[in-house]
Amino acid sequence: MSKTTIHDIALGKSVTRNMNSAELAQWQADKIESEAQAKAESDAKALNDAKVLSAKNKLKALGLTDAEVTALVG
Amino acid sequence: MAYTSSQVVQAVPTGINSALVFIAKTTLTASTQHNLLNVFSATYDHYLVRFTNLSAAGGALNMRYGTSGTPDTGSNYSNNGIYNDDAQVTTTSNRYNSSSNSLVGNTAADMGTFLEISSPFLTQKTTYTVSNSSLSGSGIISNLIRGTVNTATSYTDLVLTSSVNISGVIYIYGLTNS
Repeated sequence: MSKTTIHDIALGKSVTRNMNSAELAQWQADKIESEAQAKAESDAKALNDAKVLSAKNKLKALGLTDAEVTALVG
Repeated sequence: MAYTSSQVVQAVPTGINSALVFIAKTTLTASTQHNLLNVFSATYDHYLVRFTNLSAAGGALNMRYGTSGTPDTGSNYSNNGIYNDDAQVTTTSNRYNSSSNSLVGNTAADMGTFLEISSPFLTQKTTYTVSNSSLSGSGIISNLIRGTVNTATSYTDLVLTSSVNISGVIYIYGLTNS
């Protein structure tokens, strides 16, 4: 069971308890949303990495050395 | 008050005039959600939140605001930012619109995090900026994220949420307007 901790900043008190059904449903929805965002980031990075690799290969085909390619695009 | 060159001007306790006023510190133990009540009030318009040893290893750390114990789970949160991973020498941009929360940091342990929140208690759009960094293997990963809530709601609470347990220590400061 996932837990939530309630911190009352004004009173300086904290209580940890199991999530109720509404909190648990929201937490599960958050988890799905977060995982979708992480996948979108991962997919975007993979796509960008592929473009960088393609660009590097094209530059090398033009005659640039590895050092020159690295200086240009890392 | 006069200061000498050897003195250090620090944040001072509530009740003492200062531009930066310490409000509270609390320890976050292993829970997937931390609901911090009565953080924001009419006393300050802007807040600085500092975390030490913040960990949500294995899952992203997100936040949302709330009012009197009720989190705002509406799809009004938008943010974008830059994620750097020097182990892979990559920079990735993040952009989320109409989400039900805001990103604080990506998967990491021991994140050093500064969070600035503007106008949460005022009935106008709340904005935030967060920066953090942590070690991932031998490399450093870091985030710089900015975001807003597309609603003019007055909030009193700050909610931290993750798919994994969140732990660390949180320090909250208020910034005076004058």
